[in-house]
This record gives sequence, C-alpha cells and structure tokens, in this order.
Amino acid sequence: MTDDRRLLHGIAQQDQGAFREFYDRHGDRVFNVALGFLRQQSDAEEVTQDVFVEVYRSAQRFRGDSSVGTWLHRITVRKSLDRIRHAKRKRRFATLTQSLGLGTGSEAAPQTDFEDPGVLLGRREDAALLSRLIDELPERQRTAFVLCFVQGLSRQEAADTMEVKLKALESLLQRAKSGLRAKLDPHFPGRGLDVRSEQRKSRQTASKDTE
Amino acid sequence: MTNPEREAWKDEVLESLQGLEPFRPDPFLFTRIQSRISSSDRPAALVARIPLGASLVGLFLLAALNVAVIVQAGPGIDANASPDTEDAYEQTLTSDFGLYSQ
Repeated sequence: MTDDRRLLHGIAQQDQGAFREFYDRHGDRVFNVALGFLRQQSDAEEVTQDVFVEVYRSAQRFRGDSSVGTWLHRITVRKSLDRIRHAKRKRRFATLTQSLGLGTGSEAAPQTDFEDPGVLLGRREDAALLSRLIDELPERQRTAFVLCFVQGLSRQEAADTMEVKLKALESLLQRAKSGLRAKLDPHFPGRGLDVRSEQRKSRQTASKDTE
Repeated sequence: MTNPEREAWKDEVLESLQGLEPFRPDPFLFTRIQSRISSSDRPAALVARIPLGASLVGLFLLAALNVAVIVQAGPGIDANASPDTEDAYEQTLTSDFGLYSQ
C-alpha cells in the first residue's frame, strides 16, 4: 500500500494525524492547481478548503481506480470549475438586475482581477491578458490548457484527470491554442504600426496604378 | 499572410503562464479546514446520537397527544348540535369564566 493510500485509509478512520500528513503532502499542489484556474489567492484557498473537506468525507469511497494524485486533481478541477460557473452565474444575474435598474452593481465585479502571486513581474501584463482570454475558452479546452501549459502536468496525467483519451486531449489543446492565437490578434501591440505600413503599401500601389 | 513579429509575440504571451513559481497558501489554511469539518459535522453527529427507539417513542407520544385532543374536543365541534344546546353551552362558558360580568 502506498503512503497516500495508507493515509487515506487513516483519514477514513478519522485519524487527524493522517489527515494532517495528507494535507502537508498535497496542500500546496491542490492550491496551485486551483490558482491556475482561478487566478485569485482567496478563491484558490476556498477551493483548497472544499477539496480537503471532500477528501475527509469521501476517503472511504476512494476505490483506487486511479492514483491518489489524479483523484485529487479531478476533485480540484471540478471544484474550481464549479466556482467559475457560480461566479459567471452571479455576474449574469448582477448584469440583469443592473439592466432592470434593480441592483446596485456591486456584484458585477470585473471578471479577472489578476493577482497570481506566482507570475514573474516582467510577464504580468502578458499573463493577465492570456488569463482573460483563457476565461473565454470553452470549459474543456480551458481545462486542458491550464493543466498542461499552466500547471505543467504531463499529457497522460492531464488526460487521466479529465478522463479522456490522449488523442482527445491533444485535440483539445490544439483547438485551445489556435483559439487563443485568434483571440490575441486584436491585442498585438504593434498593430498600429502594421496598419500604417499596410496603408503605405496600398498608397504606393495606388500611385503606381495611376502612373 | 502571417507577420513573424506578431507570431513571436503570440508565442511569448502563450508562454507567459508557464513555469509559475509555486506559491504557498495561508499557513492557517489547515486550521480553517479542520474547523469547517468540525462545525459541519456537529449537527450530523447530534442526529446520529439520537437512538431510533427514542425517535419512535417521541412520534408515538405526539400521535397520542393529538388523538387525546381530538377526543376531548369532540362534543365542542358537534355539527348536529341544536341551537338551544349551543346557547346553553355559551351561557355556561360566560358564567364559568365570568365573561361580560362587571
């Protein structure tokens, strides 16, 4: 029996020491996966709490079909997506009440108040933009992208977490990347220069035509 | 037509969330988890501690009390009572409880 399974067995018997040890082994990982989805420290901590409460309650139901790590990832992804869905519903409701003149609008906070503490300072602007665009991806593409390109899980681990075949995961990643590339187009900082050079080219062509 | 500069910039942005520094959560997070578990366990534990027999006795008592009240109140809610009987009953009530007396 691996250490994790032994600890889960202990948790199922309500052994607080085993629960503490399990948290020490996996707490940071769960928190960072949640942070990868939510980009907010407080939200990620809430999700980490939810995950470990569920682990405590359902330890005896762990069947061992997958590794403990994959099982934990699955719970974390599910809880993170639940939270994102809940926030979206709240925002939609706030927008609706605001448009009907019923709400104060205080709930309609901006979608991504980016504050990931792990992002290097120089990359913060790009990371905030990417994070906003990831939010617009369909849920499965988003999950695949975050697990592989943000959390650095191997393709196999991500596929196991999402309970999909490796090929399906690759396809989701491909679609996520091309979707993000398309969404990045209007944000290109040199866009103004591009437009000007294209205008210059077209003027030159037009003048040649008239000559 | 693709612009190499633009494509390089996109690659850079797409990689901006890679290799994040792992971050540690609040050191008191485990304590918060424990308190959440113990606070949500309390009502369930209370319910679990009440034995089935006690619940059944409680239900039986409740039913018996209801039956007793219905049986006692029986004559008072007799729909076929004559008006004379009702008047006599009202007079008894007013005199017994001293209603309307000065």
